[in-house]
Amino acid sequence: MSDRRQLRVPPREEDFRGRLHDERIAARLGAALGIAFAICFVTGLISHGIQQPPWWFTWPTRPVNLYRVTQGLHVITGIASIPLLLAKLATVYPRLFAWPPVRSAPHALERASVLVLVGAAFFELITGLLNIAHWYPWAFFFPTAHFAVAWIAVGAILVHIAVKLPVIRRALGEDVDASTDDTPGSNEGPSRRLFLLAAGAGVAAVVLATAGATVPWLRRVSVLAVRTGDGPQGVPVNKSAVAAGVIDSASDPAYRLEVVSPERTASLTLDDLRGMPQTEASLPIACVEGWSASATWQGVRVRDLVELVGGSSESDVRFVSLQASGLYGSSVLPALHARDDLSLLALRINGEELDLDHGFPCRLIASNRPGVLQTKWVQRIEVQA
Amino acid sequence: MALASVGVILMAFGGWLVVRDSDPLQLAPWILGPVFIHDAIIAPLLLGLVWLGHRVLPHYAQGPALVALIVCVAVTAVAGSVLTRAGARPDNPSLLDRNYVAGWLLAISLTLVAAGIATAVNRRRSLRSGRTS
Repeated sequence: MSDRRQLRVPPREEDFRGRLHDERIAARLGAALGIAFAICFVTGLISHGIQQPPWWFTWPTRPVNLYRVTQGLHVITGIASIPLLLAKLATVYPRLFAWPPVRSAPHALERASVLVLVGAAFFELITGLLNIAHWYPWAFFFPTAHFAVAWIAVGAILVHIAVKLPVIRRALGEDVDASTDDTPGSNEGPSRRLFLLAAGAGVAAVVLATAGATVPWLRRVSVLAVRTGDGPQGVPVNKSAVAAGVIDSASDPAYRLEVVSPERTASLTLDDLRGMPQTEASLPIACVEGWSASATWQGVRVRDLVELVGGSSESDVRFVSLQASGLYGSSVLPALHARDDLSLLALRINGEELDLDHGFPCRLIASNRPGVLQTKWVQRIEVQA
Repeated sequence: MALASVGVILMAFGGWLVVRDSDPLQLAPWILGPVFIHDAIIAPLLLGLVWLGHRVLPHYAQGPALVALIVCVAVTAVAGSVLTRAGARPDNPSLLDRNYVAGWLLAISLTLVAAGIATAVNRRRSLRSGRTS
């Protein structure tokens, strides 16, 4: 404590002498971040693929909870990345003040790629976090922006790994707290192992504080989860009947469900639907926002409705909502799901008639799909050619 | 080199998606803004606190203080999205249906209490080892 150093503004890289500014910590935190971003990226691509399937993409009907797990992981690993990213940046912060700022053209490119990496990573984590809290203080459309910048972030991570590979190899091979190679004066501050432990504690804290939105036994612990998991009839709602503007049309006694195939058309009243064979299925509603909740649904098999109008079990089926506006007013159920025993046009949830907010008079519920594709307030079913 | 090339291709693809599907000028403040705020304010503040903790705290309190600082920062960063319930909607009571201020204060309090207990344990341990040596 005798060395009264001068504080320079701005400081230089060598002015930071704390033990945490060390490649061994940076490499370990970086590895954890790399794994978290890889999980986020793959699960995000899966979710994107299900919602906007390219021709080569199919998504299975089983296990019924698979999407619940992949999307829950997407959000949980994203949230876990927040303390990891902050800790990683704290360890490498002195690099910001490297002098001279640019040594060569490759060095300039490397610094630019790090700026892109950090910017894209912050963008993904912040927009994702605000999206699950339904807070949109920006003008762009979240899904397309979050998807596009994810490619930039992952690309920049690969470049960063490629550039740092020798350092990563060296740093991961060494004991974190070995101090034999410390430069003089770099023994200040907490031990490196403790810093890693603290970052781990930060990850554990934010995961516990939020994961209850999808992990039922954590509900009471997750004080920062966007949803408790409760809602009308014990299940949360993403878009209410008021927000969808369907209060009048959904409760209209003259409601008819149109079922259309290339061969013929059927027009069914709610009582007609109730009179058809009813099937019960226990399926989760799993939102793209990472929350999920299981429920017992009762209703008419989609398969039976397709057969009613002479449709083929090889056909995709489109569900159109009473919801007039919005991007999610309809969804296409792939043939694989349409002929599945568990795909229902549900009339009841947990033993009660559907609440308006859950899609009364009837909604689609199928296994292993994002909630946004489980179209509510269905008015028309089109068996496609 | 192959890895870097793949990375550059993915970045270019992402950039192309941004230009095709979004307005880059709307995205830019949300990409560069956080970097600037982090580098200019958050990082110096936190590193300053770590440095200060090392200077002023007794050695047996330094570890628990560091862990508590990181946990509190992490919890606060995540809580920021729900604390004001900015996304709440009157027509959907199942959304943002907790008292987040209370939850956040509880998480911070528990962290500080845990850090206090760890400090007391460390202190007793260091006193005892001091006596026996």
